[in-house]
Amino acid sequence: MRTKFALILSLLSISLFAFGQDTPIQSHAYPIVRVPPTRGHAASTAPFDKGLITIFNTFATAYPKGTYLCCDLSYVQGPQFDPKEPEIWVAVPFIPNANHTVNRIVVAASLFKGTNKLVAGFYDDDGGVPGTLLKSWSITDLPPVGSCCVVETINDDAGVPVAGGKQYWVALGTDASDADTHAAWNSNDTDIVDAKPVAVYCKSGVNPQCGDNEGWRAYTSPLQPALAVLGKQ
Amino acid sequence: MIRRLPLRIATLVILSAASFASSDKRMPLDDRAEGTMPPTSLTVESALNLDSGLVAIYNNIGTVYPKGRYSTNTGGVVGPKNQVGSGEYWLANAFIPNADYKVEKIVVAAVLVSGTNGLVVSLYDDKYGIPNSRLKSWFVTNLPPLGSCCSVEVAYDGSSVEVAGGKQYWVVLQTGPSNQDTWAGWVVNDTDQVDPSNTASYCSNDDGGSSPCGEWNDHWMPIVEPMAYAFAVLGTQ
Repeated sequence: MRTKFALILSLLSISLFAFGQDTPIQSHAYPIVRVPPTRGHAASTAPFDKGLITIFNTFATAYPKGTYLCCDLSYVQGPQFDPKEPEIWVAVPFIPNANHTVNRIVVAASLFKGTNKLVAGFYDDDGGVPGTLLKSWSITDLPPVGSCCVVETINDDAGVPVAGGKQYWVALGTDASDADTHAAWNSNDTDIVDAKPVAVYCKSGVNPQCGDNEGWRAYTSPLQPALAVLGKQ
Repeated sequence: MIRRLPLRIATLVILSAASFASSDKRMPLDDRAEGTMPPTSLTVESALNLDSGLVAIYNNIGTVYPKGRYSTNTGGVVGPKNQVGSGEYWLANAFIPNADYKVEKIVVAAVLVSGTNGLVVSLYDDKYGIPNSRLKSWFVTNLPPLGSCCSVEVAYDGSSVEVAGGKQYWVVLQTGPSNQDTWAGWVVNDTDQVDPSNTASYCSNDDGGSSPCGEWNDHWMPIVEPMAYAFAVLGTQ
């Protein structure tokens, strides 16, 4: 009986992947995945507290129990999690309004299965997609997919200098140590209206699943992965 | 390469079906007879205008981020003559006032998929953890299309309904005689995706549709969801 009702709920629920008006779902639309919610935890606001300047932030810090969308996700996956699936990384750009040193990056990532780890990369820009890797870090202890509101915080005391007015990218991807990871980057919920830039790196494995999308490709989407970049002047 | 999964509001816990007694089929919904409403789709600022002397008895609609008032997830509300091919399906979300109030306004975030552009918004009391008696209903119109954000619908006609502090009540989105072909969605809130919320769904395939309501046919089914539907209840003390 409960199974039947779960089916009914599923049938009657409505998919809103193209939230916002300007993003038709087509072959090259930015891919968003929707999952059922699970119970989560209220986030600490510590990653956003004093001492650092907010250079970029799409987290809903006003709502500790709703800092991002639990259930609208971008896949981030290694080349070995499924032989039929490509390797996928995702990147979000930001443009500092002045010269800064980036000392902290906050992302909302979650784990489907595999090694509980992702690689966060900091890139400069190359023609509207991530260019040269400037620095990278490992992030672990990802919460399960569908939950809210734990975030992953990268602290870097040395920092990465950035120039005002130039575009940079924060990417989540994998390396040899987490090639079996199937994870996701949760979307922000502070703006589900405006089309925003995102880039996806796709690398085919056994099958040519990426089509003409091999490598980095730029998209726009109302649902952008949640990211904060903090630092010093 | 990349799959899009259909949204499903997950059922974490299905409460014991304490009562099968409530049956809205025997409760006529003379929706339009209860007052002709002006256009009811408004901005959140207009809808929640607390300067008007009203207080928020319950509110989970985001007020801080103008382009992120609620989530992208919705639950379906469909009339018996819908294009889905399912039974009639209504949704309810509970709230408990912390004191005695007079409810004057109910604000919901709903979107239209197809059919008549209107929904019945009702206030019910509670019995055994599901909606019981309908205390009042309003008919809201001008639902924005599926995929839009961030307007809301306001149910308001100048009168009020008394609610008692500490007792559970239900806001219900449903269909009536004048919108039997409506397929709409009630958008989920994004301000609290952590605490569970008491919701309920009502399924009936008596008047059409082919989806199996099973033993829940014509009954409210209580469901505890990780996220509540987006709504606010405003009133005076």
